[in-house]
Amino acid sequence: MTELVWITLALPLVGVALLALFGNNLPARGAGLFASLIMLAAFVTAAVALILLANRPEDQRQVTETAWTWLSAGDFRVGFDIWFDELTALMLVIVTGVGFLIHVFSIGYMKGDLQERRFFAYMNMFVFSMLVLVVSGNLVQLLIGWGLVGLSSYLLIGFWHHKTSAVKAAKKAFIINAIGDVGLAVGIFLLFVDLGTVSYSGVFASADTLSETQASIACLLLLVGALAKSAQIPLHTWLPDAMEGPTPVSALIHAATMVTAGVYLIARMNPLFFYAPKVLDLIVIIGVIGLLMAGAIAIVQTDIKRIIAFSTMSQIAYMFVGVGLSAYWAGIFHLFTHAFFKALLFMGAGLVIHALNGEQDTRNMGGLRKLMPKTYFCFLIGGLALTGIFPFSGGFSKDAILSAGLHVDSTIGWIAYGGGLVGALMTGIYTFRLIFLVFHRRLSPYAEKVAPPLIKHHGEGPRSMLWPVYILALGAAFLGLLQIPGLTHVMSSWLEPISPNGMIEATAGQEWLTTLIGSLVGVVGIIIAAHLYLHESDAPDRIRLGRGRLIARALERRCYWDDLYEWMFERPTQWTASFLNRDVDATAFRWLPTDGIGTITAFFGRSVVVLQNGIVRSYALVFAVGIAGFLLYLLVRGT
Amino acid sequence: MITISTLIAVPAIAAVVLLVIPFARQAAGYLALLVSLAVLGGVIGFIYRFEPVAGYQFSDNISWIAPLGVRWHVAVNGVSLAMIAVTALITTCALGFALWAKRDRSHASFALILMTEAFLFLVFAARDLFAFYVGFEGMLIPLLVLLVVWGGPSRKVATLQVIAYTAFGTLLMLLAILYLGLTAPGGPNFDMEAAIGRGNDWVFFAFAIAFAIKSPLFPLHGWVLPAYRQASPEVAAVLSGVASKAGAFAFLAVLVPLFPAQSEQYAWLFIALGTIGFLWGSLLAFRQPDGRGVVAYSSIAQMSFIVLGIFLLSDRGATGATFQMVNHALVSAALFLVVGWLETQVGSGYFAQLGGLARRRPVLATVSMVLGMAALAVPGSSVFASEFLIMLGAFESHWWLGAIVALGAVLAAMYMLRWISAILHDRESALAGTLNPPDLKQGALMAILPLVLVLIGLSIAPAQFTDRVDASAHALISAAAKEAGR
Repeated sequence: MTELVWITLALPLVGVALLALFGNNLPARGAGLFASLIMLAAFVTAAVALILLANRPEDQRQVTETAWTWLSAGDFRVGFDIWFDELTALMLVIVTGVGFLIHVFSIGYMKGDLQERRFFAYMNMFVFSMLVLVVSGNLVQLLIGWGLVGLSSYLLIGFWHHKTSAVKAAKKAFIINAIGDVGLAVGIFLLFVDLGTVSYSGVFASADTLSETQASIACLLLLVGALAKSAQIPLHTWLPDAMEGPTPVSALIHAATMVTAGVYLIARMNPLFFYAPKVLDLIVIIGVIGLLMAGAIAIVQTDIKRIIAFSTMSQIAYMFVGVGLSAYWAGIFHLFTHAFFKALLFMGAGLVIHALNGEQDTRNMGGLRKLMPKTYFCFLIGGLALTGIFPFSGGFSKDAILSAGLHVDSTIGWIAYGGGLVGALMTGIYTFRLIFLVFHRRLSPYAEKVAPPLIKHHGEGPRSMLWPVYILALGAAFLGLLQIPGLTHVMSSWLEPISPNGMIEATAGQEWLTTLIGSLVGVVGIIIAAHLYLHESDAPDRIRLGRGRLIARALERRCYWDDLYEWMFERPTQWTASFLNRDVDATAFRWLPTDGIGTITAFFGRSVVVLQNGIVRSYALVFAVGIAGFLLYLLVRGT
Repeated sequence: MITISTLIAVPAIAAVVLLVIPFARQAAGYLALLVSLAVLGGVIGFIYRFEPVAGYQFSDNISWIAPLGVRWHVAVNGVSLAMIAVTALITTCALGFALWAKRDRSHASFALILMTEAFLFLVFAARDLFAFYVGFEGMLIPLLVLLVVWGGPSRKVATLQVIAYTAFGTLLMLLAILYLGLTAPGGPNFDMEAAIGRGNDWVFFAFAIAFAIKSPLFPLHGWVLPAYRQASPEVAAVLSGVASKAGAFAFLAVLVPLFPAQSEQYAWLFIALGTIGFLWGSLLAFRQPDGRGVVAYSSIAQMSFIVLGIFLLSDRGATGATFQMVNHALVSAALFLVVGWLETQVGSGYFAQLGGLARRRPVLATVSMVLGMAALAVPGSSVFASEFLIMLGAFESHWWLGAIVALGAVLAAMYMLRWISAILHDRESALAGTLNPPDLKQGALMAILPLVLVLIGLSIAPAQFTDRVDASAHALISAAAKEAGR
């Protein structure tokens, strides 16, 4: 079984290596096909490993293995490990499975791009990085996967590197993720100093020896990493800009890899977070604020991918709420369903963008329902799952999180419950605003000009793009059935062992109540969206320019986070660096000790001309005279 | 069996031969390359025979200048062998690049590079203070000639600046060595073992200033920018890659073991300067207008960081610093060769005249990206491994120190991403567009690729390195650490 995990891990790396070394000998389509086959093989091995794990008795489902010692210094040792348990197995299947579908989709989407091979090499690398992260059995290897995910996202967001905006977005993502890496690294330092180990088993076994303060500080530092990777407040500003990458990249970042890593980290480290209850509360609060803010911003965006991007931020915030409430299984369950419906929505958006020749502005869309009925149907399923309407998958998983808040029955629990329901209303509004703007209403002049000939010629897209969408639509529609309150318990019982201190799970009654309220709230959101956006009207603009203008303006500026950071960090750093460079360093350290002394001595009538003539020769002479004098001295003294 | 003395003698003799006999360019180049490859092979032989223990091995100890008590005493431990190995590799690559770049009066330039290698070997292997002085001072002569003859337009000013700094430092060191050697009990004795613990504060600082200039450690870094900007790329690679390591190495292998009490007493000072230098260099690297400027200031930052690691006087600090010396040597040498290659192709290393070069140049793009990512210590790289150890060591001594230096890693990401993008991304500059330089290939690629491959190899299993040097590095700081009661 562990061999299969190693093979799963190795396959995408082999893919990267072969594409990098021999990619130029492949025909352009071959690269995509090859990378996709690699992913399919990885998915198969991961799935078989999961089945083998499931066939084991429950107390033997945690396997660890070390391939080699990666780094050592004194009593500090880090191995290259795998830690295979229920959570790892599930993550492996999600990452490789959804990753595979995104790879297949990319074959069609990237067709004709001159750099397909580089693209697929990066895609395989992205998956490899994520796998390193999830299979790790120690914190340092986790940090390595963490950093490689950041690197891969940098390469893919900036894939079209002739575009200045793409390069800027890629750098921004990398730097914010580097801040997260630093937080995570310092957290690891702290745990090593306190516990003398960085392996999961060591940390979990001795976590109870930490004081609450120690545990809280360590968890806060780990949380910094999680916030950056998962694009949560206050380290979320890179995510919307990351839309500069090709659409399949967005699907990969948002669905299968990267942003889910923060949720995974908290769920994985739950035996440690157990001793830091205040940090868990903080996670819930950050999550609630994030889901509300991102949901609100999504309502005013006009770029199709940005709307979905903010919805990701909002949905990941739900997962944070889930793990913060210690309902780890619910957080991961939502991660699982979200992977499907979010990949579906991005691919649907990809089909639309494809059919409109690269256009992403929803104002240039509209009326595509009739031209692209298959896309519309699938997108609608994704939208319903996102909004959390019973019985689509997102509903079950989101309601599992919210009902956990109800079950906890504390202030924090009620904040989560109330905030989550308001968020669900916003989700309904922005999701169906998007659907109405893109697929309903009249065809915009641009779409009328561009879309019909393209679609007539190519259909809605090649099969390689449509089939992944169908499969994801099936998942988005039905995966929720794994966990029907009171009837099926696949997710909660599978993930139960990962938390030795127990998990929060609401009663069936609480869950059904939440499902009822949640779906109703979602429908209200849809009705509001329909009222405002189903037909052209000036109602949205009346709100935007009228009474709601201040709020609308703030939301359009993404609540001023970017401006805040620019003035707080970016510009002061640049000013300081420029000042030190131009004024301090050049004068004090370069001019003063050399020319400065020369000028000063020249001022007193002396000259350094002697030195400037044949400087090396005179230097060698000084050196030789020095040595000779020294030897002479020794000789004299020695006798 | 090859001895360490042979290893020093071969490049020295070859250098003299090349200087005396005016070979044609090709012949001189291939001969020099062959010698450096043979030396590299010899070093690899030593790595195989090396036992990963604390003490010095492969010792040659014969009387040199008998009446003065000066002995030819050379030997290596894990740390010095690591430095010798990286020196041999970088010298080979620098010679390869010089051969490709077709320098005029080339036989002399090859000879001087080999001579630098011999002196550097002596610095790393010397167990006698006098021999150490000869190596430390002697390596500057070929380097200065290389700088002043084959350097850029402002080479004379740069050379003068190097001399102004280093002459001051090594003069102090000479006096300190004289003092230690002549006051030895039982007649003049320059052996390092005999000098342990005998120095006072003045002697300690005389050494420290010389090493700080060479490293460079903030605030004695003023000579670095002009020298690294004006030297030809292969000389800049040797300077920043290994010549600078002579300073840092001397802190770890000479200063700390010889002056355990003072090293412990003044460790705070070097930690403070190291921290400031790390942040200072990183911030300034972010504002440089050219590829070399960025690498120069990042070198200042990294060398200050290494000195910080050494003066943590802990296991993690010493092993991490040793590893970081090797990593930084490989990275900065390769970066200088890449920038130098760009200068030969585009005619400028200034960012305003570069850009967009990733298109149609996959090899250049890949090499630059791998090096850039190594330089910013992307998790999983060998640079990450060594920085992680130093930062962990810093955290173990004071949590806030660990936190501050960890933040420096973000600055490194900022300046290296800027470097990468300015060369590879965005639109092509007008100059690069008209010249349409080819992809990195053949000769120049062969000179750069070995450095990249070794970095990748070290990234796969850094423990292969750290396990071999850990005992030696620990032995070097153990006396000082004991002073601190650790």
